[in-house]
Amino acid sequence: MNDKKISFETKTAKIEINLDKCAAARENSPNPSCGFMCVKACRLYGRNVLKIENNRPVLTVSDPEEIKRLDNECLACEFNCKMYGSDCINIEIPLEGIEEYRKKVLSR
Amino acid sequence: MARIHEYQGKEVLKNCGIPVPRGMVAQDAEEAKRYMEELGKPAALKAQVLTTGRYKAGGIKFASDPEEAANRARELFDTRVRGLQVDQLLVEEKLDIKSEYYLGIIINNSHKVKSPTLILSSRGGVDVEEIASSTPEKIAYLNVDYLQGVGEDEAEKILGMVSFDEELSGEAKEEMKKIISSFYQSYMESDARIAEINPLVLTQDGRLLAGDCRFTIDDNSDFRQTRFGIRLPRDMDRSPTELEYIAWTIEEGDFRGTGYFTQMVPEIDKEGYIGFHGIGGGGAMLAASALVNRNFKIANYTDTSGDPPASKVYRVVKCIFSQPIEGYALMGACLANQEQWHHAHALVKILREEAENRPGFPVVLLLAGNREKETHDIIEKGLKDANLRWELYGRQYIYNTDYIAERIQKLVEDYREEQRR
Repeated sequence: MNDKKISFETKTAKIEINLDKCAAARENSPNPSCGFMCVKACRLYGRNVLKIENNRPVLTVSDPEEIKRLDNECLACEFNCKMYGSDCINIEIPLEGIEEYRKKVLSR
Repeated sequence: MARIHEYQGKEVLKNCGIPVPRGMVAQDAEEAKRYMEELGKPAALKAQVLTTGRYKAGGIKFASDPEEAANRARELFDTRVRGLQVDQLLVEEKLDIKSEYYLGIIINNSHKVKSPTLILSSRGGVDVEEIASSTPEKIAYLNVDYLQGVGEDEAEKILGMVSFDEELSGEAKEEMKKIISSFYQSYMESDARIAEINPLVLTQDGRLLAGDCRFTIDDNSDFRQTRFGIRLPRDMDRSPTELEYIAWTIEEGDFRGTGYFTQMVPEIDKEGYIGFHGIGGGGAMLAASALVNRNFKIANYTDTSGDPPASKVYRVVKCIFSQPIEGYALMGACLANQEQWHHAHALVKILREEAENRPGFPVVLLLAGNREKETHDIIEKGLKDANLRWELYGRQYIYNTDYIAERIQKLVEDYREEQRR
C-alpha cells in the first residue's frame, strides 16, 4: 500500500482504490463532489471497512487478516464510486479456470 | 451425495468378500488389449462414466479376442456416452449368465422407518421400480436395525420373503446369505446412501458374482472416504462437467450462502438455451416450466439463496454466462432471509462486463423481497447505459411466470433478428 493506492485482499477478492483518480483525494475537501459515497456505501451495505481521514477514504483496520475476516464482499463501494464518484475503485473477483474455459467454449 | 465408478464400487465389494468378475481398468486401447490377453477369455468393455443405461447408450461392448478388444476400446474412447467423454474402461471377464438378481440398500426416510432398507429381488438387470409394480412377489424389503446390522438371520429372513423362478440350490442359498450380509458391511464401510448390485449374477457353473454395482456416497463423509477421489460431492447421474468443476470452487469451503450451479446438459450444441438463475425453489421452478412451455431449453440450474455475498453471486452468474446461451433469466422471488441489494450490486457488475462482449443480449430479471425498492434502484441506475436488452420486474410479477417467459421469448426473438442482420 502507498499514498497513491489503497489495495487490500478480502476472503476471495482483491480491492484497489486509485487515489490519483479519487475525486475526494484530488479535491482534498471535507465535502467532495462524490460525497464520499464509497464510505457511505460501506456503512450501509458492508462492514465499515472504509472511513474518512484527511478528506480521503482509508481503511479502518490495518491488519490484513482482520480485513479478510471483516469484509463482506458487498461490491457496493465499486458501484457507488462508478455511479457517483470518479470510478477509481476496482474489485477483482477471480475464478480459477473460467477465462480458459470461456475461450474454448464461447469461441466455437 | 456423490456417485463413484463401477470399478471403485467393485473394489469396495471385493474388500468385503463379495465375488466380482476379474477385471482391470484400462486408460487406452493398448492397455485394454493387454488386459484382455491377461484375462485369456471373452471380455466386456465397460465405459466408466457416471450415467445410467450405459448398455443402451453404447457404453458397453464385448470382445472375444485381444485385437477385437483394442478395436472396441478405440470406439469407446472416441465416442461420447450420453454426452460424456470416456476416459477409462473396465475390461472384465464376460459372465456366462444363468440368472440375474437384484440386491440393494437405500435410506428409508419415512418417519415410521428412518433406517436402511434392504431390498432383494429374484429379477435383476432391470429397474427395481418396474419389478415392484409388475411382479411384487419377486421383490422383498427388510428394514434394518442399525444396532444389529445384517447378519445371517436377516439374510435368511429376506431370502425367504422372495419367490424365485427356479429354486436356489442349497450351496447358492448359503453363498447368497453371505453376500447379503457382506453387502450391508460394504454399504456401512463406504458411507453409502444408496448401494446396489444389479445384476447379482448366478453363472452357469454355479458362481454368484456382482455383475454391476452402484454406490452413492454421503457427501458429509468425503473427508474420510478419500480413496474415492470425489472432487464434486453431489448426486448426479453423470460425471461433472468442466464448468461444474470450476463452479464448485465457488462453494467449496465458502459457506456464506448458496452458490449452486449445475448444467442440465453436458454440452450445448443447439440454439434455444436459456441461462437460468433462481433464488429459492417454488417460483423458480414455475418459471423454468414456463420457459420450457415456450420451447426454450434450460442450460443450467442455479440457486443463490441463504444470503450469499455479492462476490459469490457475481461468480455464479459468470458461470451462467460461460455457456453458449441465448438469454438469461433470473427468478428471485420474495426471500425473507436475504437483502436483495447484494444481488443487485453483483448483477450490475457482471452484466455490465458481459454487455461488452454480447451487445443487445436478452436479460429478464425478477427480483423481489427484502429491500426491493433499493435493489431495483441500484439495477436501474447501474444498467441504464448498458448495451443489453434488459427488463426488471418485482413482487407484482412473482405469480406471472408465463409473462416473464413471454418477455424472454420476445427479447430473444429480437436478439436473433438482430444477429441475422
